[in-house]
Amino acid sequence: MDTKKTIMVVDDNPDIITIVKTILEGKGYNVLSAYSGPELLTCLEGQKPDLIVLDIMMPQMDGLEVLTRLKGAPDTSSIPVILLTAKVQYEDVLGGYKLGADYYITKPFTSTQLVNGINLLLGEGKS
Amino acid sequence: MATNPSIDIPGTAGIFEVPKKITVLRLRWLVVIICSYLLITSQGTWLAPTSVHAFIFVYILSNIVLYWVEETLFDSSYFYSPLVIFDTIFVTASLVISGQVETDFYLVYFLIVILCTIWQDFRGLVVVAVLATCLYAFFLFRTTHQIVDPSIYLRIPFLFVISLFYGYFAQVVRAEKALKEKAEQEAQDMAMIQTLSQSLPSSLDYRQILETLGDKINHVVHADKFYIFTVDDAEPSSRGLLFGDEKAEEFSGKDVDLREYPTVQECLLKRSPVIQRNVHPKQLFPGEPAGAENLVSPLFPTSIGVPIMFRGETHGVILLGFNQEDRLLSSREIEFCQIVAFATAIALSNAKKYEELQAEARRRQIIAEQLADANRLKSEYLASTSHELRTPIATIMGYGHLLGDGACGPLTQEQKKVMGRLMENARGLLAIVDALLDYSKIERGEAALLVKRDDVRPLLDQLQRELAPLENRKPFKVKYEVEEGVPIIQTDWAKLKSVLLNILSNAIKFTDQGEVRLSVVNAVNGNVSFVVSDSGIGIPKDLIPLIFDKFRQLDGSPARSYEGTGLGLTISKNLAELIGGKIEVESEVGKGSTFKVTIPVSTN
Repeated sequence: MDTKKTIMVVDDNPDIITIVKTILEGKGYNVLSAYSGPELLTCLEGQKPDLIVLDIMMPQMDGLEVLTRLKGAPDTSSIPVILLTAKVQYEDVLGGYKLGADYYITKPFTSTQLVNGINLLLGEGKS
Repeated sequence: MATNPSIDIPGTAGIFEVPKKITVLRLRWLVVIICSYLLITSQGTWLAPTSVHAFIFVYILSNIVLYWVEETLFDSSYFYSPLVIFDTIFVTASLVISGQVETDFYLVYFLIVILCTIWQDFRGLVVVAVLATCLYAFFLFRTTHQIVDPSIYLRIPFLFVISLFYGYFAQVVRAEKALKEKAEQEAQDMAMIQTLSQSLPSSLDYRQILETLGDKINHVVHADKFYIFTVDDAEPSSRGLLFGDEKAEEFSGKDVDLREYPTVQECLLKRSPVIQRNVHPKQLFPGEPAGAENLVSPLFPTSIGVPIMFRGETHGVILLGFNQEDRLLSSREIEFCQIVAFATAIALSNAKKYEELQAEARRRQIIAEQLADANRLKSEYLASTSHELRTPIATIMGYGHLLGDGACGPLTQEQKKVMGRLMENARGLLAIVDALLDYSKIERGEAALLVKRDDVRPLLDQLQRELAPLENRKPFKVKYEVEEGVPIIQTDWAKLKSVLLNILSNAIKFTDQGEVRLSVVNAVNGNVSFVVSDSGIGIPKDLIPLIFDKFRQLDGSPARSYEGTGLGLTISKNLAELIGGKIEVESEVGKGSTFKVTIPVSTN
């Protein structure tokens, strides 16, 4: 890998951010984080990550709302989004994909699940 | 009169088969001819012959005039009574003018004719006519020596026949009229009762019943005022509602003290119709005569109260007021009132029951809604709780994975073992949270089916893989068998899997030695059964029906120590039902249990 890919993690729970960050940095990614939807949207004005890992149940702005905004704006719509959420029911998953999510991972998750999803979206082989 | 030709009155046929008008005219011609003969041939006449001729001419003319009179007039007593009187006078005059017999005796016949128009009994009339004839004959014979004219004797049968005919005719017309009136009235009553019996009980609305009642009863009885009192259930002797027939106002119930209405009060006491006369408001309200006049007070010169009773229960009183001081109420009218009151009582009793039922239904619906609300809240609470719980579990397991994967430095063997136990318990906790979520979902009726056609083998492989960690701590492996000829099944495999997973993990948990076996067999009606049998602790017979209850694990020392939410079997049962199946249980304490999950080959 010549350049490190940047992944943005959005979750209101700092522990989840820590875990995701640890896993992904271990896999050689550059990881940024935001604790809420608005914070993410502000960050995106300056820098465009290669992929976003997004929680659904967050205060202020719901993850699905964030997803809708991301997929609705021309400059962010091409960024792949993985929903990483405690919403595990069939309808939730279906709803997530319908709103434009590129991948859906339910909590609790394993590092393999997360890495597989990212590899799939970024078109990379196992590193 | 004669508006209803379909009514047949027996006994009036015979001589009246010929129209009445013709009969009367023929009879009168006879009288005219005989009278004319008497007048013309009489010798001792004291009237000028021209007058006699004029007299005869008037009589003949009168009969000719009658030809232009309407047929229906002959039914009216206002017409035939004067006619009878006119003829009586004429015949009398003829006899007096001819002057050959003492005129006094003719009066007897006139009397008969007059009597006939009033009297109802024809046999009595015949007796009187015969008696009069005998008397007449007796007097004639006593004066025979003076009489030479044989026409005298002609008068006997002549007068006899005339009196009988007139009398009979008058009576029959009268009887016919009375019969017709009665029949019409009865038909009217019957029709009224019929519409009443149809309209009253079909209505369940109190006010509507009373309105119908008022309308019907007034149609027959023609009261000046019409009121209905309904008694209060709590104080039947004193309090009640008054419904009046005030045309300008609405037909609405007014709270009244029943003791202020003597007819009503007496009626309620006697439980039978009561007629009272000349009850004046001033008698009842001596202190305030001015106010009493203005009261909506059913106090009338004549009033009748009829209790509204059904099965010994008095629902109220119908009160009719008449301004006429000596209004006579016929037994027919009273009877009609009673019939109406009875029909009303049934209708009111039905309405009352209906109201009670409705109130009860409303009460139950409210309770049901409250229960449904509470249940929905509970389900929502369960769902949100399980979502909330997943995040910390995710954190625990996430950190666990990091540690286990050596992301935070290498672990010793001992540390790895502890990590393993930690992760296993975290997974157990997750299973409980999932069970809660599943349960709340089924409760809310949100569980949708994902149907797919497939063979059972892949399912068994999945089960084997997922149950492996549980088997590791037991001295046996679960045996899987598929009977020859088990078809491809169309069902929701995820739901079937969680049912079997639940039952199998229970079987493994509660069995310490022996075996656990899953057999897939063909069942009747194209169903397939998944039979899970174990050689575990078993379930006491009386507790088998309870194992599917929510939050229940069997008491007793070993069971207590097994983990679980107690939701597993409840959910399994619900899930099995969702895919059109059922779960049957057989068990013997100490020997083991058999759970049979039977599902249809095809579920939509």
